Amino acid sequence: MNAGSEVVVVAGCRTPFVRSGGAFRHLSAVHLGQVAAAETLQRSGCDPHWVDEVVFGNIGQPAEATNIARVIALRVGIPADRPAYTVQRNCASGMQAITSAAEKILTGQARIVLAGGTESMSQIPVQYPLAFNEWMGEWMRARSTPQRLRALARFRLRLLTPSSALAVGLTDGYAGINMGQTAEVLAREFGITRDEQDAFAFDSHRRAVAARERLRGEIVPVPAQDLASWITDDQGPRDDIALERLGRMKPYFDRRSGTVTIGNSCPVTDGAAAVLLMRRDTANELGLEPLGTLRAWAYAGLEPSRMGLGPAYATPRALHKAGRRWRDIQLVELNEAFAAQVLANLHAFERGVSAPGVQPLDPIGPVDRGTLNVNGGAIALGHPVGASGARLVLTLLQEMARRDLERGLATLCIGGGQGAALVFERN
Amino acid sequence: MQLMTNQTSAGLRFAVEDEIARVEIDLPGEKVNKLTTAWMTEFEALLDRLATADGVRAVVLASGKPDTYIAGADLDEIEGLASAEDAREKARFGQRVFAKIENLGKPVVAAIHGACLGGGGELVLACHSRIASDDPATRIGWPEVKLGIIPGFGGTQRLPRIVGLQAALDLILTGRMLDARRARDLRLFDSLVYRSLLVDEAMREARRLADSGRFGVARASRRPLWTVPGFLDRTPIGREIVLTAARRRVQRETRGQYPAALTAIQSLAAGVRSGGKAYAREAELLSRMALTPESRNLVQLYRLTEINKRVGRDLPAPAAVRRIAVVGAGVMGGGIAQLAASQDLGVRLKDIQPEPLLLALRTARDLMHKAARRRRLGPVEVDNKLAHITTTLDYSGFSLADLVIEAVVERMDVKQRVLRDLESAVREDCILATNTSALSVTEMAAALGDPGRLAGMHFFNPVHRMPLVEVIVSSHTRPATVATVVALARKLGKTPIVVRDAPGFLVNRILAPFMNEASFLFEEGQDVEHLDDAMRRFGMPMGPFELIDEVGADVACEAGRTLHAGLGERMRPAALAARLVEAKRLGRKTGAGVYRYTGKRRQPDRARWQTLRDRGAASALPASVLQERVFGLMINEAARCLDEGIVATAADLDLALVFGIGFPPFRGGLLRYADAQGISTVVRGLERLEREVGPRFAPCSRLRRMADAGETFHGGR
Repeated sequence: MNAGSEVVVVAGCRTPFVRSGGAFRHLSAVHLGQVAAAETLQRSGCDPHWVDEVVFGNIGQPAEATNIARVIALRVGIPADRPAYTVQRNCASGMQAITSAAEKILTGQARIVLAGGTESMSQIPVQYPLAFNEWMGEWMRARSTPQRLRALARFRLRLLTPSSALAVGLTDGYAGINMGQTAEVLAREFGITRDEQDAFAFDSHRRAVAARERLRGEIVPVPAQDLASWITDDQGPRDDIALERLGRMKPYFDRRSGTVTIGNSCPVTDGAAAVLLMRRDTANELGLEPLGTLRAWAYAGLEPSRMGLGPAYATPRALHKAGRRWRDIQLVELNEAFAAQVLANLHAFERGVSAPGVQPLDPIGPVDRGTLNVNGGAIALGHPVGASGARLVLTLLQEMARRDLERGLATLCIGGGQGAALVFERN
Repeated sequence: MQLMTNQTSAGLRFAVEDEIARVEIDLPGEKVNKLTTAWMTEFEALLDRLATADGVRAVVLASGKPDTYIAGADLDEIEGLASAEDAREKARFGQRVFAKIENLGKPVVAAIHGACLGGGGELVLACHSRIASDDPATRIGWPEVKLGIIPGFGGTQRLPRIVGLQAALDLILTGRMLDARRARDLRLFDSLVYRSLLVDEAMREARRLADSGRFGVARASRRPLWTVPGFLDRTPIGREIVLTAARRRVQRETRGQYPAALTAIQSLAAGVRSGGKAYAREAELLSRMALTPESRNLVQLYRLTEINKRVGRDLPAPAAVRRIAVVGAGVMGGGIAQLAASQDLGVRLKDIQPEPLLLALRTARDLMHKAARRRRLGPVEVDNKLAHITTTLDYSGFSLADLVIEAVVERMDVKQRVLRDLESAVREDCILATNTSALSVTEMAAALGDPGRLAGMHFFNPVHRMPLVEVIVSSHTRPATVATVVALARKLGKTPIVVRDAPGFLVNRILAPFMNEASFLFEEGQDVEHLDDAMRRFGMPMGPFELIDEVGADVACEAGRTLHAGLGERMRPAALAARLVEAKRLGRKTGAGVYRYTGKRRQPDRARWQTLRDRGAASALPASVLQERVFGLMINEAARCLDEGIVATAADLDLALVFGIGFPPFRGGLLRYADAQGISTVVRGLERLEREVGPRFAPCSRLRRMADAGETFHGGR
């Protein structure tokens, strides 16, 4: 592959990340995505008319914006004749958007692609049971009075029992356990203690608070719903985070003997992120300075119950494709779904996995905490599922530029039992 | 199926399909259909044929023009009316022709797509059914009152029978246009269909009516008697109440200066009292209005807006503007951003502080919501349009702008700095426009590396309501720049007037004497309210002191200073504005100016007024004297503007003042008013005032020349 056809990221930005039920609760995923996308284009100096395609990640898939990427594309002024589609790979949807965009570029189907992810977990609806659907169908088909009376007679109050689509969505459809429980699985597998998890969570908050000023560079301020104030920073990181308080919290996913709490897990969050990708020679033509080159990527699969180890399984594949070793990597962003999950990955990276009955893994190498999630991670910032993958890439590239580094890795665990890893290079 | 095609020379085609006659109205060589006498004559002949033709059971009337049904009567013929008798004859003729539609004895269905206005609206009222296309281009209305006349082809008789008296009054008195959906809701249209199915559906309806044998025009209001609107529409007492209220409201709002409105009420009244048969009365009333000076002036004004559409024809082709940037948020910036976004332009809004950006966004959102409520824009459309606006605290995104409007604080040093910064942030082909209301565009341009790319684009406050934009051309400005700014103003729905860069430009320069002379009169002892009243009676929307309070005494003071410095002794400001500023009474924005303000209400402040001048109250001068002093000066200044080439034509000047300061439309414009007085009369008046009051009244050389040569500003009429 010649240098001109490489995939580069030329610009990106994201909204602040705000806990669900907070200041963003009235802003739709479309709106958040549109703000991030519009600002990415404005900052990049790329006219919306030059964009060939738009790909966005989103798991909530709001009914009023089916194919959310398309709605976002039209809102930000990309002409109607440019295609757009939405992707879903659970927690890596934002990364999937980026790798799908890269595929378009590498196969010559597009030169400039806007990619990203958006999520409003606040607006994920509450559902009626399926039986209510059926009853509604019968009611609407009833034409005569006897038919209507028959339908009425079949009505039961329990038909209206609500269930949270969010809670259902965060439960693995195959393994039947929720995400938090997978963290407990890993905590046990690797012997990760409660204290270790709380310490990690504490650290994540501290780093995020310290990085607040730096992170403003990648954030676009969003007006509150009433347009009376600006939301300029991530609202998750706590200045007053205290180990004692973390220690007092009760385990959430396994009340009796668990170690995973709300405090050492990532919070349910709203937010969006977008990046602009193109061929390197197109960037040169347009006079745009790349933030980094996407050298290689990989997705890997593992047992759904151990999904948290996704990064450990995906990273070696990505490194192999990039022709690099672990020690070549100078900066890492690894999504913090749960402190237990991150710590489990650190163990697995260093020592590999060779227990009976689980997928084996060769050791990759030790992870330096000083180059991992240096500006905090999802435990402090939050994890809007569709957007996180794009945020990791954006944050990684911005920090690589600040430190003038050459090789970085962004990686995620994926609910359902997958992992994603992207290798970036600068210069 | 028998097919018979026929074409008349004046613009009628018809074919008979399956016993239904399909008539297509298509005036040859014209962009729109209008009701000329020639056409009406041929139409009458066609109706006579169709009435007796054996093979025809029903008629469909459609238009052969792309986006107009019938735009109205022929304006040339209206202007050419020689006498009241002439007008009455024409009205009776039109009534007779349309009566033939109603009494054809066979169903007549109108298939309406596009603008259906005035006489065209009256034509379809006479039909037995109206089917329209569900399309934004389809509109119906009766704008006759805006031209100083009333519908004279039976509209005032038929409309109340179809939509009820209250709706008919509203439509005819405001002259507004209804979109297809609103018209359908009012039962003006019987149904809406897809544009491509329009004629077929009309043919089907015609056949249905012919088969059923039941078709008539008379249709009582359907509102139930026991509701208030129903009671008012359907009972004689109710109707009298409505008519009286309408009469009172029109009197109050127009002070009798728009006789056509009152006459329209009379015609509608005659209609409802006679069951819609007072056609002779309608014709009589129309004849009274057709030759009034008000009507002539309003028609003239309409002509001026048409002429204005040609502004820019002698300029190079404008550059395409898809995306603009605005520097300086707040109310003005927000208004401009909203305007641009509503026309689907991308807008990058910049300020140095985050708060004004929020204010601008709120302004834009509120205006969008208001527009949505009026035109039934769905919430999705509002969101789509608001999405066009992005905000920033730096110049990121400016490389995407085709044109930048700077609306920062009115200080030359600040504006020059901003323009210099912009020059390095935008593309080479990006146009720069300044919204300055008083500073020299030429001086601003001197700060730029490429001064030819700068022009003034002066919006008036509030941006969404004021239709005028002054496009200010400095000595450096390139023609291509002017062309692009003019085109953008039009795209934003404004009326552009090209103006040379000079103190006060055009509008503020001529407006200055309005406020200034009133201030002098106040200092001579005239009463504030008496002065305001005299000017409003002339037809101005606001009196001079009300206006000072609205714009702000500080702004007025500063503007006065600039004009004095730039234009000389005749523009010396009176002391009032400075005294108000000293007393910190800046106007509505500080709760008190000339008047006192509690909430939205304005109240006199007699105690304070005496402190604002040296001499005491004098005996009140008659309104005509006050008006002569004020408008005489304005005419004088306007003449100077023409002489100095500030604006190209008298037409431009008149239009600018009607749109910019609300100069009364029924007078046709300031210079039209001067023509009506007679230039010699104006000059003699100014000379007398020069002797009696002061040298500022000295008539300018142009006026003297025109008086000597017997010329008028508008030539002829």
